[in-house]
Amino acid sequence: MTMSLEVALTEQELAAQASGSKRVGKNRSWLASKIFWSALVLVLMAFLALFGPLFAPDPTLINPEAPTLSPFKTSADGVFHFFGTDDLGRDLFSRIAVGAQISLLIGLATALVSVLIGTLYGTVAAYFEGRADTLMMRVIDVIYSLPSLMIVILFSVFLGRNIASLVLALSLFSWPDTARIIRGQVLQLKREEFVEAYHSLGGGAIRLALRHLIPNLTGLIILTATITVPRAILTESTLSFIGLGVEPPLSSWGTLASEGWQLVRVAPHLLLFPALMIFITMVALNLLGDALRDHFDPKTKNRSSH
Amino acid sequence: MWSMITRQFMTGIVTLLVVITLTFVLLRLLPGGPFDQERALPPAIKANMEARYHLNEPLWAQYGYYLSNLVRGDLGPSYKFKSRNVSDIVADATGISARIGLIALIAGTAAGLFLGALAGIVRNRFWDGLLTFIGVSSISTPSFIFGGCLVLLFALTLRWFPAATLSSPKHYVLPILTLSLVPFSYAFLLIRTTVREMRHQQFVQIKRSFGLDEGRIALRHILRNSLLPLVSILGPITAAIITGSFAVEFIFAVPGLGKHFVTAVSNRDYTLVMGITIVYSVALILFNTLTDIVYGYLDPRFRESTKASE
Repeated sequence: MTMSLEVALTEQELAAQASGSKRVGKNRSWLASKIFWSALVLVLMAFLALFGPLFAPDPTLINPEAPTLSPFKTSADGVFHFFGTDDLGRDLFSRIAVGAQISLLIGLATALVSVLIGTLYGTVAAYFEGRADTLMMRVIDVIYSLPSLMIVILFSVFLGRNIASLVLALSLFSWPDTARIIRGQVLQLKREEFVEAYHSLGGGAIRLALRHLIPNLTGLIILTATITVPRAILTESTLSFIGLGVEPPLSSWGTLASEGWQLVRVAPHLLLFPALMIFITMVALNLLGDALRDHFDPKTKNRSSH
Repeated sequence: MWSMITRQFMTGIVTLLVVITLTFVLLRLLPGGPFDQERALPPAIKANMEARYHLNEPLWAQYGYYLSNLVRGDLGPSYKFKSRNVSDIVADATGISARIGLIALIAGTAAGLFLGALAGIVRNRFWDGLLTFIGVSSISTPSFIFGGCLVLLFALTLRWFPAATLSSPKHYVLPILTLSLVPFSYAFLLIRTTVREMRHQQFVQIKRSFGLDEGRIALRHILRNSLLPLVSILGPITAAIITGSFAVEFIFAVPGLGKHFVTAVSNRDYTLVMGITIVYSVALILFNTLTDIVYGYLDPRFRESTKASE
């Protein structure tokens, strides 16, 4: 079945832990530093998105006097351009800061929507098991074998190429990942002693889910959210690059890279800076996901939370 | 085993129906038709054109026409390129995309397998760090960035390879290199994780206690058992190559399926969009089914359990 690589790795890791195999190498301090550095980079990116536009020139300001200025140059009117300017003389650093808002927002919103739907779906499937579960998983199998990018394109064209429609279209293909992982974990939790004890004491289903299952899933939910964000950013930037992402005046990092690509012979920095931002963010997100996957051990979590 | 293949086949049929219906409905609901141009056509001509393509009939009738033609292998006429029908365009484009895609699939997976296994085995801090960096970078780089940088470096600066189109064997180098990034990163990360886990497993420990040397254990026992998970992600790799093909064909001006899809969407060439979507879906379903068959064949546990249930 088609699932993302991240799901394959996570399921493998969880299975290894469940079967009690040895923890794979990697000492704690290396893990901690991986989490620290990737989190630091992500915080910096968030700062860039939130506060960058306040300190940089107006990103919409067109300056015909200073087209395709190289980085670290000051234009004739005395404005310093950290990343240079684009073909219309707009400050590239400001445009990247605004692009960060859009790219990160789409990534985070997609993760939020996918985690909400996926957790609910996965928990329900695992709770009922049997026929309902089989049917629900079959639906996921079908979604996995759809050509996702093409359907995302059609959906976003149909709903209008704005942030909300893109988030919706991207979530359509990312929630099954969460659902799959959560289902596997809930199935395992159901066989734990404390759940049996709870049932034998006459506890209700909803209370069980709210009070015990969901808290026990927190770590895994954070992990699935973390692996959804880079995938969403990747797909969105690819769409914007081929000209089918968010529509102007909105411009994500992918849009900027696309504009840079048109001018790559004249001003390669217009491609390189947005590309670098996407790359750094993706590395940080993937490292964080990797570290969380290594670090995260559902067994020890169960013991400590009740 | 057979029961599983049948089940797989049924899922494929359902998936295909979902794809066809979904794209059909989405495309017809899109605002604007294929004959809306900047200069409006005279109403009579427009009505005639729509009648010719059955666009004036109710939606369900159009759907029926489409399905019945599809069963006969006819994808219908292209609304944009009047002289050619969709089947021809799609056949040409599929040849191009498949050629690049398959070479990239094999080359990328092989390279990822080799370096990933190496990364799983090495204990030297420097090599481990370097290989991990390569792995994380490869999964973190979108195809369009990799391709763009390759063009910038090898075509525009060093002038070793041409930047676009596919007119000679030399033209194939950069697109294939770009497209093989995704299979490389998938194979690399999966094999690295598997080899690492395998190293601690009991049967490997036992071999080690027998005094077998590490190189032989790695080659004969660890690697062989690591191939199974690789087969299981053949489907995702195919899906990722399809996604990558959009960016690659855009960058290198390759007239493949992805490129045609993007133009067809903006041209509102409904039948062409449908045709390409169906071809890609069939490719995905095919690879998924193949994955399951190979997986079932390779995994002895699986073989035993299905035999018992038959």
